[in-house]
Amino acid sequence: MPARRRHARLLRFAPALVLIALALPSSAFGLPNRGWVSGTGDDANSCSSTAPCKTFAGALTKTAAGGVITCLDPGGYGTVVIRKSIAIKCSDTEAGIGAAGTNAVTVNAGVTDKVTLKGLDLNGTGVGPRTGLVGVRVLSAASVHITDSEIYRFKTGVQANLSGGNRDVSGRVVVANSHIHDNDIGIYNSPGFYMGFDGFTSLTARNNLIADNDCGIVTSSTLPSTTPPDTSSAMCGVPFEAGGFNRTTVTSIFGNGIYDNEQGVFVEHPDALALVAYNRIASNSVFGMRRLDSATLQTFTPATNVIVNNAATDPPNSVVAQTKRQAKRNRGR
Amino acid sequence: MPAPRRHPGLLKFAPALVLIALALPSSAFGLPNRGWVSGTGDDANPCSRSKPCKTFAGAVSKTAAGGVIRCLDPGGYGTVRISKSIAIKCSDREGGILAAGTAAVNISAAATDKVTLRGLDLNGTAQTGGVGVTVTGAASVHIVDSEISGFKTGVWVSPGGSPTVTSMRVVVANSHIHDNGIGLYNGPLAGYGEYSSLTARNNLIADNGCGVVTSSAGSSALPPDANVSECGAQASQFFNVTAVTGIFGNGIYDNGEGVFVRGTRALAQVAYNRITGNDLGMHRLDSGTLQTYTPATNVIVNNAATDPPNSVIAQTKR
Repeated sequence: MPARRRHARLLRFAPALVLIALALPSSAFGLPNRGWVSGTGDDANSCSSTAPCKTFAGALTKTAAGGVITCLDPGGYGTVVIRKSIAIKCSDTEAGIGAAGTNAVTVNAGVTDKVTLKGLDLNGTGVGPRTGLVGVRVLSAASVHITDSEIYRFKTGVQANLSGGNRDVSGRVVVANSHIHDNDIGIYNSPGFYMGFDGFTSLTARNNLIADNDCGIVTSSTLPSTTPPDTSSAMCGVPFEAGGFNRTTVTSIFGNGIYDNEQGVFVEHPDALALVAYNRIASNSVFGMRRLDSATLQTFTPATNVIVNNAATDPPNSVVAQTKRQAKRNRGR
Repeated sequence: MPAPRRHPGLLKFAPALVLIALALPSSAFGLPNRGWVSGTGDDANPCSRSKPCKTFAGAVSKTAAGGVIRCLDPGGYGTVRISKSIAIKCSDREGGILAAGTAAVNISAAATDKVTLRGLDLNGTAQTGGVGVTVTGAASVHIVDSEISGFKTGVWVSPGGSPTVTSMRVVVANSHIHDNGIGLYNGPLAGYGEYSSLTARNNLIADNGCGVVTSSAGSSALPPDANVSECGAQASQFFNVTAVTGIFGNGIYDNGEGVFVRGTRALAQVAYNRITGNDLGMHRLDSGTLQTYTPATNVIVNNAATDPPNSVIAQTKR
């Protein structure tokens, strides 16, 4: 009777299994799927809606992976490092993170983890030269969605810097319906140091107001010149030499208002590709769009962008007709 | 022994240094970066979250330059003059300012200052005189997610005020601009401005006497008044300053005149708008430039009349 014997053997281990279970930290299971923060909360609380926590970092430790953290009211909820799937949602409560001299949100999660940030107010603080480092720095995740947020006064507003720590990793970041202004660099998409040859980094910016930055939206297929990228060390934070490090870096720039920056769209180095459609790119004081070192600046026909009143602008080096595509698709039907 | 001697020398000045520190106004440093207002607040409070102030003006005086003022709840927070970098943010709590016959927000800051206004509800009551937001000086001003109604002029961009700022960039986005004499007015105040830029993106601009006005010769009255001259713009040009208005993705409905541009250095860039139901959809006077693009991006229909653009730029190569 081998089956019965197996059960009996398992039972012998039961006391040990119980001990192991007791030794595990309680946070490993049983965490609620919802956490709450409030300006009048306390991190000693359970982060329930009736006993909310004070900081995002506090709520993160008390909310299950895949859970949702919501703000009860406006407040300053502190900088946070995210290492698991989580959503932080504070639409209409303007959850503030003041981040003088540091990063506001760092996403350093697993390669299958997904993170949503909605309705945040990320402030690098101060006047004059920006001292806040990065608003949202994405080092590792399967996908990160940033929506309905305001990100300002940073050296870099949003940095997709997927490296994954020695893993061949790809990541996808979306920034939508957000107000990104008064940064050295609004959005910066480049690979990170550990990006393997099979990895690629994708960032999609949709329907944002990207205004009054030194550089609006930057795509580079090599490593940034500094951590974080800033405009004082290199033009739009991109080193002049790619240094042999090139990984596929794609930025889709769709339906944004890109105004009053020094340089609106900036793309540099051979494996960098900026797809530019349905944007209004106007009144940028140095370049509307700028392309350097064999990068690809792609637009579409019939024309979708309006690019006017900039001091200068580079023409795209790739123009893809969308009419033929429609025709081909129709033929296939 | 030069090093040891230097320290006793400094110590001699210590009492004087303390006196200097005491003499400085306390507001010169140590102001918090965050201020709070509440409908139940009090301006005698420090404007902290637990002790909020009652008015924007009170909170501005107690918040550091570059700081952020927020509303804890909906309320009427009073007119405010802004002369430094600041952000006022009240999304979905509708920070209200009632301003009969005056300016709800008057921004007269330095050429390096930046101002953000978000989620405000500015109400001029009956177009009797006031302005929703007057901008005479700043590096940049962003007005988003706000409602501006019942003013002689909703947003008045007029560089060249005091302190003199020669170049200014204002963005109005995702806002509801309605029932004003003039919705948005971009025109220099006097001849010493050099460049005046206004970008209007994704707004609902409806039921105004004039929707979006661009003038390179200032206005015939202060503030611009659609009852004094056509859409408030000045005909005779003692000065002529570059005024550029980017009008992108707006709904411009049911106004007397939707888009109006006047003067040789006035440029209205009109793309991706829906301009319908106006008496005059677009109107151009005195060599103003009314610019659109091909392939066509605007839908301009069902207006009683409309001027054709005098500049059409092909975007195909882009």
